[in-house]
Amino acid sequence: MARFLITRFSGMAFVLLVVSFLTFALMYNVPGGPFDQNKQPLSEAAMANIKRKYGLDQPFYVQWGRYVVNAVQGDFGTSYVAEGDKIVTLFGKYWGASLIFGALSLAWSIPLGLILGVWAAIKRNTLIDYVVTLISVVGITVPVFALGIFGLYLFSIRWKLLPYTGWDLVNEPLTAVLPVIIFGLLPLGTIARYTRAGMLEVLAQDYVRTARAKGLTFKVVVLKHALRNALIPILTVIGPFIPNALTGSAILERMFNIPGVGRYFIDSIQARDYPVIMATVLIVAVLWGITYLLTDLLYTVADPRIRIDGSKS
Amino acid sequence: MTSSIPTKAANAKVVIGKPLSPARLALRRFSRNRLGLIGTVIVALFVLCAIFAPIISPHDYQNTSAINAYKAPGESPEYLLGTDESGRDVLSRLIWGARTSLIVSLAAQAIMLVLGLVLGFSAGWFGGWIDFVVNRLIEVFVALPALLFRILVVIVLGGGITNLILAISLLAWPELARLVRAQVLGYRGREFVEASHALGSSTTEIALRHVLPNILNPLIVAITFSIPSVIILESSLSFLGYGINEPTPSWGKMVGGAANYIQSYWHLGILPTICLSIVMIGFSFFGDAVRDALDPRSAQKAP
Repeated sequence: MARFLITRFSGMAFVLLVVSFLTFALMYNVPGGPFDQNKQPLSEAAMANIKRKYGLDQPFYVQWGRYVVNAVQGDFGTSYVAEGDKIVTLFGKYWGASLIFGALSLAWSIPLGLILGVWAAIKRNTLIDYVVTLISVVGITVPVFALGIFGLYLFSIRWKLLPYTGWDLVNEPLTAVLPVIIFGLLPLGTIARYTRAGMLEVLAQDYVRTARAKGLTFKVVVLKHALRNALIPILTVIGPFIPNALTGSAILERMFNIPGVGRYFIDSIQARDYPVIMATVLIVAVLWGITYLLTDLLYTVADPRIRIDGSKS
Repeated sequence: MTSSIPTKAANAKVVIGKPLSPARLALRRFSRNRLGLIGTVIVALFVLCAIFAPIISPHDYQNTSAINAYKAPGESPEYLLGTDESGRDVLSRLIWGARTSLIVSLAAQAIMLVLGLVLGFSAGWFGGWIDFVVNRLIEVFVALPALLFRILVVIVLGGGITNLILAISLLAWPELARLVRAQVLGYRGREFVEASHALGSSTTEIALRHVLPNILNPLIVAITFSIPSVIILESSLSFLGYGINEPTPSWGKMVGGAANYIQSYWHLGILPTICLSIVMIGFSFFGDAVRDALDPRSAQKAP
């Protein structure tokens, strides 16, 4: 176990190093660079001063090396735009909305996806099954901005049931309804689909028939015997949705005016706010790494036959 | 003994009939899938629109006319689906948008395929340090935020269709590479491959003549699912304004441009959204049917 964790964490450190290098290399080539003269022309001496202050006069690899050394010590620098503000503080500000947005979306879609999947599998080839399949297909295939536009048009403009964009959980909680529903449709559809398929496969197994034959009720068999076994492959499906949701959706945040990290990231690229871009990419990468690790560990809990090194005994 | 064997063979012949080739069997499975046929029709219409866009679109997609701006669908017989903010014909732009989506997805797919095949094959076949390097590369590319990093790439390279194709494909090959690697690993030690090797075939020869034909089916399935996901990326980036440039029409860009005045002119946002949704659902049905036809084992297993 210790060896497994050490290998995985060193792998993750390597990935982060390369990711930071790639991002740095790209950022370095964003046309214009930070502090260009468009907004307020500065004297040459002032420009040189600013560049020296942020280390921008150094060669590219030196800047990158310095960034990595500082980042390892927990110092992600300060924003160029919101001058003097620590990146950590800024992220606290913008990440909050994205975190709540993502968490709310998963909070309804994961359980409902599981329920719908099980329900559709039990009632195979009935109306319920078809409706669940339809929801799955729409949620999985239709891009999120298309769902967003449909939702906005129907619920906010046509029927005037919900407010038109905005994000104010405290004073106007109704503003959250539409984006949270739309953001949850992809996880809902995917989880329902895989749960249905997994349940159908498990329900056809001999041990399920045996359990029924020895007199257990259908409910007990489905919930205790079948679902637990069907859950294992579903874990891998649910895993990636968590970092995905928690890092916000640039598209929905823009569409619904949610002050989240996805929108902040795009604004930061436009403003060439290097430290913010770096921090966002790295945080997403870390979240993904942790998710994969946790999924692999959960696997061994859900199915004791799977060993930690990935092989099946 | 002499009498029983021919009887068995004769019986078998009566029951099974003429043996069908795997391709014929796949085609038969495919044509029995009703949703698959619907999907095929949608995908075929989409491709036909894309190919014949210059012929079937009633107007030039970039003809602007200020007096004809913001016409609603059906308002004027000349512009069946109305016009946009610069008076351009929406129907023509929708038809040309199909072409943009198809070009981007096919070009990106081709690049992804080459990268995925070469890297995946080398990793699976040669193993050792090549496998190690490719695997680390895959890990790095999977860790990059899919949409946000592509926006960064588009900003660095500049907008436009070529750079968009590069931004999409250069970050999307790991999935294919993984698939190819896993498949090649499964075939590396097989007898027919070793036999060919013993007979003096070169690696390239074995790869092309023996391994590639065997991994063709899962590859085709992966591609049919990958094309719509590329279309989603293209339209999402264009929606955000980091994709196709004016005046080239793209469904995502049409929605993005219209999102702000959807309250007054619904058709500008909703019509491209409907097109995109129908095509996506069509591809999904089509892909499912292709998978079930080419890989009957997965038909019972996968959703």
